[in-house]
Amino acid sequence: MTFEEWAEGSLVALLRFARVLCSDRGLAEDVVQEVLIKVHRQWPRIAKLDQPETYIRKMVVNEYLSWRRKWSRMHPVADVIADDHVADHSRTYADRDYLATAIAALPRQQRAVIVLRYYAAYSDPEIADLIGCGTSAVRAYAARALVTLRAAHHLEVPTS
Amino acid sequence: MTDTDLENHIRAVLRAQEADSPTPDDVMHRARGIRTGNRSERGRARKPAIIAASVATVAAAALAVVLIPNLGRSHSSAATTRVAPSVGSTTSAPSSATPVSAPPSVAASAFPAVAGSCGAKSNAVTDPSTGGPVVVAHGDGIDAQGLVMSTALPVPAGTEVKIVWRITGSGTPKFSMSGPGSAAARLTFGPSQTEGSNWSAPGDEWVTSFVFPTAGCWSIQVTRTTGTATAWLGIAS
Repeated sequence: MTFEEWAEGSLVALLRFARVLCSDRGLAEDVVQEVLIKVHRQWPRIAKLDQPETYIRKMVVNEYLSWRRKWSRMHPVADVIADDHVADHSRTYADRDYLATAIAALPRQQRAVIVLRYYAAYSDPEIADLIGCGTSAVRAYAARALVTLRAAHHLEVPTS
Repeated sequence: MTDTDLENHIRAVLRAQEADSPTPDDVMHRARGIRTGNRSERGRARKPAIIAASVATVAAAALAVVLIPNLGRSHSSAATTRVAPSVGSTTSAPSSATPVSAPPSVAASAFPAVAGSCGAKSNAVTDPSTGGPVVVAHGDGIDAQGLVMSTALPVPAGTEVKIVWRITGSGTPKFSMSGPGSAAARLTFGPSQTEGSNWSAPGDEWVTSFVFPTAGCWSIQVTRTTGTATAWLGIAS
């Protein structure tokens, strides 16, 4: 398989993955572009791998995780203070908006774990390999992220 | 809410974000070597790129992405008459054209000649710093180089083509186009000055977009306060 053939078949999916991972379309473009350059340079070696897709996704994850360190590209996110517990027909959509904001605001390692687990459907050991940490660290990142998402964004059903 | 509910919400939210994913064209367009400081396709501010890249389409609209590292570039090379070297494509530069000087180093990218029916007149080269096709114009008082950001080369008639220019001299450049037939080419964007990019070439950088209505050899006259230069671009039917 040539690099061009790979790009033709896989670039769309890679861009979707990057978009979800980065929570920002422009950043996803930047990340994928950087990765494509590296992939092209290393293509003869990558093409011989058993699972080039997984390897390239790993490159995307690493690029994303290192991106802010490289560029200090911080995107301020407005704090959303939500204390409305009144359920109505818009509640589901509002919850998802809050949830999307909360996911975007997660620390990048936690966000990567959430995306890899719930979007890309990787197992914890696979995630550990992808982001270069231990399985226990993956579980810890996920647990912290879930606590944050549950506590901060109205997903807890009011008990009173 | 149970953990399962929360996880399902997360999955739904993440899936929903797919809808706003970039397209291969987005990456391809930007990967062609220009990420400007003050204008991107959606108006976002961009850091000047540290990379240069070129992307070419392959037959039947198959996407080919060929990315080339920024190799740096000697500005003096722009002062010589050059033609597009054959770079492995089935469409090559006119064989009658002979380089006056050695062509620039050409990366492994495959670009059909941008010159099209203009032949050697377009002074088309493959820019080594971006891998993109460049038309070179030498004029009276200014020099201009236009990086043609089209995935189809020669550029098809009736389609908008973005051309990024490096132009020496001073003053806001004005562009006038002339070509075969009576239909006029349109400047559909710009000239918009950028803060520069990873494209290493002499002069200020300006972004333009054109639509050339008919096939043939078109001239693009660039005029600044300090002079005029004319580039030639082949347009395909």
